[in-house]
Amino acid sequence: MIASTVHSFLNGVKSLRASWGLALLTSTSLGIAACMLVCAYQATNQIQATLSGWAQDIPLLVELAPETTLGNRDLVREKIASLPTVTRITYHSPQDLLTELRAHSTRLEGLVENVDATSIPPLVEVYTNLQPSDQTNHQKLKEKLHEISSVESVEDSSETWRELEQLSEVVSGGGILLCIALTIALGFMVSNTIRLSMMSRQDEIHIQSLVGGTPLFIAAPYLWEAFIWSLLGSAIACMFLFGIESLHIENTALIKNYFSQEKPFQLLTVFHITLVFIFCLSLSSCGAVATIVRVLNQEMAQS
Amino acid sequence: MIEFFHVYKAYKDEQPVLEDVTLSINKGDFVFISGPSGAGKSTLLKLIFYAEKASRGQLYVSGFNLSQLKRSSIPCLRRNIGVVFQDFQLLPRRTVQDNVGLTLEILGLARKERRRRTFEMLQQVGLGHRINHYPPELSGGEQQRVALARAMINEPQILIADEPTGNLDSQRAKETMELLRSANIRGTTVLCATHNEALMKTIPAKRIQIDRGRTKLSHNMPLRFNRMKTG
Repeated sequence: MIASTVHSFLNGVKSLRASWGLALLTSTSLGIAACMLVCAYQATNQIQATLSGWAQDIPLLVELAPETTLGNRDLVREKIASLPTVTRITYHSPQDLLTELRAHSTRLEGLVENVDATSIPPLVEVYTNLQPSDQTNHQKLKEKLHEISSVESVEDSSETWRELEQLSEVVSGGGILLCIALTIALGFMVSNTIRLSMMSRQDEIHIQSLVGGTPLFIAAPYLWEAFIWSLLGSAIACMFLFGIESLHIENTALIKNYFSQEKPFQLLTVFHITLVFIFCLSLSSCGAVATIVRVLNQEMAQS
Repeated sequence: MIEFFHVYKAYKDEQPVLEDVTLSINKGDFVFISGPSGAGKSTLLKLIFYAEKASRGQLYVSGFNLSQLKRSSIPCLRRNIGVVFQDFQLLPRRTVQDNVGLTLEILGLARKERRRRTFEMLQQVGLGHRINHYPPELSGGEQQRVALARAMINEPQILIADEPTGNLDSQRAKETMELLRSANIRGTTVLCATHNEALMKTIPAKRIQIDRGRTKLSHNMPLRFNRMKTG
């Protein structure tokens, strides 16, 4: 049993050696596709983590009328804090806002210098326990905030969040479709490569069949060949993933302002390597089995 | 061992190659199948190892009903039958040893055992010195003997030889016939297609004459050809 397995494996290697160029091309394609799959998976996760991170921290910005008295301001703050969905509030006085403005506008110093604190409306950041996707309750809260006197305007950043979420869903959907299309195309590629390999050894298949070779005996070298492709493909994918991860780490400083770094951007994890191997193995074995069954059926019909 | 009941074989929209063939071959028989070229000798043999399927009729070979043979049973049938093909059907990229050992490899024998039996078989057919050569390096006669060695190595129940002496000189032809005869003595049923009248006289054997797709009883046969159709 072991001897025949080793023998069919060696036959698979021989078969691979006969068409190594094609085998390398197929393995590389498998590797690239697996790498793209992992990157797409990881990027989707990263975007979702970023959006979730933002979701915990999106305040409603309530602008009070600049002429609101200090006493009134306290009253308004109390009213806002007492609303049922509000978890906390942060109050920014006009003076605080002006200081912040001056600190961040060093290039426009001259322009900011003449600004008077009385012309700046006080601002209240309202944090809630509502999910950004909960549009109805957000609307209700906005209406309640508007009902409070001295509230001039309410700006809801969760709308921007929802737009970003929709965009990420579209991107994810597109990515999934692209992966499916890529998988189908690769399946055909694997299938055709196995077919070419079998065609080049058709005489051997015919003779093996005539002298009593079982379909499994005849198919074994090609199945081994597909297995070797999947191993090569996985190795190539891991190399690409390592390269991309290194590149990402080098550029982390550039993009860390835009993406959440709560989940570190790791591509070469045990989970991803397993995913790559399963993807390569299932794709190459499915393509190989489909072709082997077809070719052997044709062979049986001919002989 | 082999039984044909009203077997027809025709290819698409063509004149039947075999017509209403009914015959019975017992275990241990040596049978010559003779007839002119294109008479249907090879087709008759191909029906036996299921390289061709009968268009009509019933065939029984080694206990298999070929009319209802499942695809999964084809390898089992073929393992009981050794075939020497007219065009040898050797693997050009494999050595003589690998070609002969292919049958044993399919049977799952260990490499050491395969090598031992292959070497013995090749010694028997006089090719012990050609063990590591490739078929294209051999003469037609040598290739013929490699094919014969491959067919005989697993001592099959039935040995089919399609024109096994076609490429051989008279001495080699005689030696080949001796090998077939020795297999027959060991209990193998041998079917040999030939149109060489002189060769048929060298071995006391049964004979099936095929002429334009119809079988007919030969002159000197103590055969059990049941309901043999005469042409």
